[in-house]
Amino acid sequence: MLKIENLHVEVAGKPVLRGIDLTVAPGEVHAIMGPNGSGKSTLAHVIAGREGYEVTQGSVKFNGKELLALEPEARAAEGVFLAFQYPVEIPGVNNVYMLKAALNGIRKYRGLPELGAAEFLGFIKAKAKAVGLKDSLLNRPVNQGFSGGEKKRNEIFQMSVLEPLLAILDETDSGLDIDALKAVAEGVNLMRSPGRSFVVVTHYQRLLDYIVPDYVHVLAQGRIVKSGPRELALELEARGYDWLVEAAA
Amino acid sequence: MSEFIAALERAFAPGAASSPIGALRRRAFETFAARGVPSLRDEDWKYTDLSRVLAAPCALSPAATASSALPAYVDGAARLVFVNGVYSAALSAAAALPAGVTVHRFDELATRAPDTLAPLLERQATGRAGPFAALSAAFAADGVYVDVAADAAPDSPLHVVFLRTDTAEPAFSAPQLLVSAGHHSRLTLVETHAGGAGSRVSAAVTEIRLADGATVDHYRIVDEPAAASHLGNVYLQPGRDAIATSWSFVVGAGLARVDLHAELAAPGAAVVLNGLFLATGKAHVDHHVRIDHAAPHTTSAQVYKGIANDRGRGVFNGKIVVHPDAQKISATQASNNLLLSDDAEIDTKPELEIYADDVVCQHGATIGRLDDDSLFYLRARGVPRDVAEAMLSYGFADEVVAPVAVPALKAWLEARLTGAAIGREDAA
Repeated sequence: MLKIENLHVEVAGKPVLRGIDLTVAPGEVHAIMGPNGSGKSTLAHVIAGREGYEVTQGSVKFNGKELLALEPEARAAEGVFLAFQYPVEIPGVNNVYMLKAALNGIRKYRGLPELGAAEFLGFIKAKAKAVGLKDSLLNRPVNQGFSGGEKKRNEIFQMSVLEPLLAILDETDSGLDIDALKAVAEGVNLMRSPGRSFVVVTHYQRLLDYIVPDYVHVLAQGRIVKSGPRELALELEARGYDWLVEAAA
Repeated sequence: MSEFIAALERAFAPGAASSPIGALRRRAFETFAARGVPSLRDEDWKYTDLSRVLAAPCALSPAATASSALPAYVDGAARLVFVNGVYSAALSAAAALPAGVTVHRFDELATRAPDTLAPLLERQATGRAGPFAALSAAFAADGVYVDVAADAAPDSPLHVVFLRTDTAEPAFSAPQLLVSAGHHSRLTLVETHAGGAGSRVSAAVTEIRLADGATVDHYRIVDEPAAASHLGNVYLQPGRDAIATSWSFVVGAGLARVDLHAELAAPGAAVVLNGLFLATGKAHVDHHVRIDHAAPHTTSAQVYKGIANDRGRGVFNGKIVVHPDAQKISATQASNNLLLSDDAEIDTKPELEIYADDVVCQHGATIGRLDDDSLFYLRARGVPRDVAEAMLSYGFADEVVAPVAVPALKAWLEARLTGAAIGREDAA
């Protein structure tokens, strides 16, 4: 599904990713862990197509297609979703309206007819209920005045509406208390399926107690320095990152 | 003398010099002709070049009955409609006028009560309201004077629509809307300037005088084609404890200049001025606001927002004058602007003259671009770039649009600002 090869990325002339190789098969959950500044969020953003990163080498293929050549909205339409670490507040644009524009943008790209208002509304109300997002938040401006937990829940809600093939969760656990974390994880787990993959970027092991990964990769100084099964995350929890960072240096 | 003025002079038919209105029109035209078309050397016009749009001769707009469709938001509402400056009984819905509201058309007044019309236009004829108000008074043929009875509080808005038909030749018209709100009355007024294609110049005047304790909510919409030049002049004079709220929405016109002047000469008088303009293509939109705090305990609050795209150009000039002895006044002004392209330009300038010492005056101006984080957020969700930009622009404008209390107008503005491409439908 996702095949990253020898990805090198610079920001303002400074190398941030220095040769990433990562392959994610359909249905798999991969966790990307690593200390602050290791390049985790950069990797997430480069896959989603954020501007401001210069890819100097390598490729990111998604179902055989080169993602790096596509605009962010085309990547979304191909089935990539990025849940933001810091969801953006957008005054004056309500959640439902934004999602309708997003979903219809994606449908148009795929050559599907746009959804009508009534059809769409019924669809998203069911989704909101499934992820436990209050109805009252649906018609509020995107993320404005939402608590930290509500913002993250809104990300998961949006993901459930857009039904991506690959979801990248960028530090979705940051700033959440344990109840909110469980709720968000539950929303993610509801969406796990044989055709859908996840890349879970996190600094802490605790999210992985609830979203159980198939593989864990440790990113340090722009490279994947260790990959392993789920147990690697537990080892990191016990030993920290320093032993790997030192080994990589 | 410019060709523009010479052609108007040839078309000028003020009526008998012996009649009060004939004399006033002559005086008004002389005021304008002596002043001439302002140039960039005039401080008040330094960003707005009229030399191109007011170079060619203009004919008076031909009388017409047929017209392009009325804007959707006036459907079913009480309305007075003028086509090329002439009242259209067919398009109007005057039978449904709100209770307590009486309307007098200028051409009726000129025959029925000729002595009452001239004083109504006096301020304009003197030139104090600027050259184009004088020009408008000189040519005002069939404007409207709206009188709201004391204590009247109609619960539905009154629409006044100035439509233009498609014209092959450049055409001039002088729409006039004068309002007198009786004490403790309450009126919602929606004024629209719109219509078909064709080159044209409008010198439009709106004057709203509020007696003590009156409240007027005034929405002014300019939605003209790119070949149109709109020279608008709005004057607000609230009495003691009266509140005038005036929105200026300029969503179309090749060149639009709106001068707003509020005189706060009675204690407790307040104005709230909100504006939003959209300058796309090569449009040029200029708002010039002047507020005179001439009495203590008066209040003014302004929020103007501008969006410029393509090679659009926006200007905001906000002058607040606090006169000596106008103590305990409050004046706030915000000019927030959004540039959507590298070739767009916005100039914003606050001017404060304060001659009293116990006052609260605040002003702020911003010019920015769309937030990259927000744009990426929307695009990463699958929202196409142009739609995402329209949504964020709309979000930027929302502060001014959200409080619009005429639902049909608000819906129209939302659709207009977000663009048909998005197909916004209220989800609730």
